[in-house]
Amino acid sequence: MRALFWHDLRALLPWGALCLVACALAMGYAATSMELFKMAPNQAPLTDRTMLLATMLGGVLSGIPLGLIQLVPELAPGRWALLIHRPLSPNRIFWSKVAAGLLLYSAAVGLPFAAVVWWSATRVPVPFDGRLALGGLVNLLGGIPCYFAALLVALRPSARWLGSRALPLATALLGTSCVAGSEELWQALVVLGVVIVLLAVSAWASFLSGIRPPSPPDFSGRRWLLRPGTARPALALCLLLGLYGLGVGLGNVTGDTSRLVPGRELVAILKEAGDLERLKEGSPGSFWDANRIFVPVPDYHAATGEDDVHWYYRRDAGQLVGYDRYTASIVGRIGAQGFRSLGPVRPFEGTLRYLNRGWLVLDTAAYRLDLKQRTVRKVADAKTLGPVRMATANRFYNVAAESELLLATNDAIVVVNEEGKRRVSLPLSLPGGCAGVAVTRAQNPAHSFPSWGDYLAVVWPCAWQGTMTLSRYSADGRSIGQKAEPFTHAHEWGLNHGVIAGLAPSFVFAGWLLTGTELPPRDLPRTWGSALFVLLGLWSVAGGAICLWLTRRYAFLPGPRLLWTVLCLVVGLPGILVLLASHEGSARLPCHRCGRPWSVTLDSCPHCGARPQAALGDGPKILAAS
Amino acid sequence: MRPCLVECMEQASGTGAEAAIRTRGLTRYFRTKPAVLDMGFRVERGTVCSILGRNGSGKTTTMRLLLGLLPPTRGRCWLLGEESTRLRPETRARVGYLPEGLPLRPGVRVRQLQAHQARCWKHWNPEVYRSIVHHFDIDPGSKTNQLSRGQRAGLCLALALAPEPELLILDEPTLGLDQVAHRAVLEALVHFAQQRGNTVFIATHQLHDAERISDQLIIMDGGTVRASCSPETLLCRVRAYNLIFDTAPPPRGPLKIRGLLELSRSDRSLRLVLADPDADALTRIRDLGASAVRESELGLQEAVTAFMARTRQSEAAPADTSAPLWR
Repeated sequence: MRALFWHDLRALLPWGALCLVACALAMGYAATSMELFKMAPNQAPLTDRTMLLATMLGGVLSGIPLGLIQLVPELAPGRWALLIHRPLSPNRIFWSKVAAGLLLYSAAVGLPFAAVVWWSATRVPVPFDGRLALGGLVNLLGGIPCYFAALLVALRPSARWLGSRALPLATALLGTSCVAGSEELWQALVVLGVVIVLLAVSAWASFLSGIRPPSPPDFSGRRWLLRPGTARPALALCLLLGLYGLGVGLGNVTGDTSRLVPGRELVAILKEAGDLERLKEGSPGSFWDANRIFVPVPDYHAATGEDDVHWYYRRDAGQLVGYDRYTASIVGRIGAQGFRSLGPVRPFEGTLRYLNRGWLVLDTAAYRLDLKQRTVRKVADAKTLGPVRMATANRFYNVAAESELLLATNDAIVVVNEEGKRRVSLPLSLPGGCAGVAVTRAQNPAHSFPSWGDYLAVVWPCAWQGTMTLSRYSADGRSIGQKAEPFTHAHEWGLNHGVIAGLAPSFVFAGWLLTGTELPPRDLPRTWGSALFVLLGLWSVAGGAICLWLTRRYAFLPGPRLLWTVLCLVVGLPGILVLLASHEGSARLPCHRCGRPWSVTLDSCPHCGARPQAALGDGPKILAAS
Repeated sequence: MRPCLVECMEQASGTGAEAAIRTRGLTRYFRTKPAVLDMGFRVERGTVCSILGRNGSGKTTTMRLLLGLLPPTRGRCWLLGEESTRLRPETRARVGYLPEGLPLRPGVRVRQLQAHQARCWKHWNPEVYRSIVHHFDIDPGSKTNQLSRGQRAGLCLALALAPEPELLILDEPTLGLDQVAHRAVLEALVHFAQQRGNTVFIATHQLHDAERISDQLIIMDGGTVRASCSPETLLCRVRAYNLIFDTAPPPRGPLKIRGLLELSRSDRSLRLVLADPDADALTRIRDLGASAVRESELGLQEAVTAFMARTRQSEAAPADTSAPLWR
């Protein structure tokens, strides 16, 4: 095994080196592009979109060629014989090849990434934390499914291109994109684990099936798991899970995806239509997002003209840290008791709610900042206001001044000035769970210049369904009135739902269960709605029946037949399409007795029981014992 | 597992001794095209068996099926008593294989290849390897794609023989070799076969080689076994008949004679090659009205060629070898 491992490693080394150079160029470009173009000087290179794209593409474009190059040259009949015919079990041959391939893959993508991480930690004036590398790392791991998919493609030289060949690649790419789009690390790892295991098992099974004949299903042993007939449905299932995700995504087109994020949202409406400032509580971004670790002070350079120091609020340390832009060294830290250039500072306590160049708001207190002078002053305290849930600078009626702060607590919306004096307090109880709230001041349409009158507060529940509450207050904060209005504009049926329903009824049922999509659509009369239910159910059953018929026709063994039927019952038409695409049918020849076609792999005709006709008997034979 | 009926019968008849190679109903389809159909034969230990046949007759597929490199569509086959589809690594270590076309990976140095193979095979005999490589004058530092065809054949042979297999399966090892290399390969094979009951299963187009070294011949045509016997049996049972027609020209049209392999005509004569001619066949030959019928023996090459040249159209229309390939 070791000999084969080293042999493969040596044979693949030039290609691995090529992948390494390509990855290094892509990541190097991504890492330096921000500096080159000055696009976002205070962003961490490791979490930059270009870097994440480079790691994702680097993984995919290294994994696929390495997998193909590793097996395609071996597939010539003679070389395949030399590979297989050796005193090693096929399992060990396969896994030693995989070990060599994965080691080279890891080196090809891992070394450039490690270099970028080192550069980011030592040469970039941005706080560094190991968690910043998670996004890129997971993206690089996303190339492993592509490697196994490429092995699968290579192992099926006689398969139909659109069938068995494209399917693994599509699954791997879908898995990689799901990984890149995951909100949480565990989600990415689960997707990676599922896709890698499925593709690796499929490649393993495909490798063995080139050597071993189909055997009767053994439900107690692992051999059953390794059968390609089993692996393919699993593969298809993976693809369809992705499709399901796509279906949910499509279903969200008419609504706002933010409704699915737990937490609350404060929208301060500014003067101009569509100019919204959204603040979300409990949504710090994806797991790879630097926002989970630090928050750069926004607009600081533009407002102050000070370009040589970058300021960041480190969430875990509870302090503002300044970096010299040119030397990447720390200029100093600002804590609850002020600035210190050396040594530790007393951290701010609480969870960050809001930060800009003039304000730092935590759930426990609000501070006025002057970063140019490097001073900090507490202006409000949770002891008097209650814990702050959300905050924004009071830009909603005076953009330039930013001298006031809007704070949302559990039972009021409070506006305070920079001295900490409460200007107005709107009694407004925020609902539990997730919700959105918008606060604005009505514009007086009678005047040409902005003139602001009453406060308006709109509270809507999560999922944008149910009742919206509209509250009105006078300028001094007195409640004038309140009214409730039905509020449903999301989750209504649209074309996308129709398409999804036609393709896979179960997607719609799942959407109904999981996201509250209206089913049946409210516009349909009741009888039509019931008919739609029946139709969707019938279509689902029809999918299972068609699949059952196909698998009987293709002489599937009982295990795979059951799996495929259940799959098509659940996912409908996509399942049937995947079955047709991935099925590598055995030859079917007409029976010499009954004339009906049957698979050449069977020992007897399933229709009339006739044994296969003996080999051509039209010539003389001399068959004698030697 | 209960033994099947055929195995019981074989054991009862005393033929159940473990053969080097055994197949039963072996069939392999590529899509709808049958490459090997219901093949059944047996190669005893300590023998040299040549498998002969035209291009595309299924020889290489048979070897790949035997080695478990390809799963059969139907039927079973055994190597050294173990089913080919489930050969254990220990059994593989007892089987050497030299594939068709000498498929060595280009760019690999001979020294590296040798080191790699020596690590893979437990019973690697460096003396055997060294002597063959030396005989073919192969530089260990050269790359595989820099070797001549004869040297590549020698290297492949060395790689196949150095693990000291009990059974050696060779797929056209002498194809395209010059006379010297050809003779060297054959000598190595003969030497190998003479050692402690080793078995050789060789596919070749060189009938002289087959005649020289084989104990058993298997002739394949269209994926089926046409003959499986010793060369002597084949020569004994394939006969040629020269029919002289003095008064009238020989009859036109197909001749319905059982066992007819080959038919060639001239103005006044007819030559028939028959396999296992029985009394009925001989009566039919006499009834053709020839003035003289002369029976003659055939050389192995002629006999085998008669089998292989026969088309699979029908028994009544064997190949008319007197017809030119083109007009």
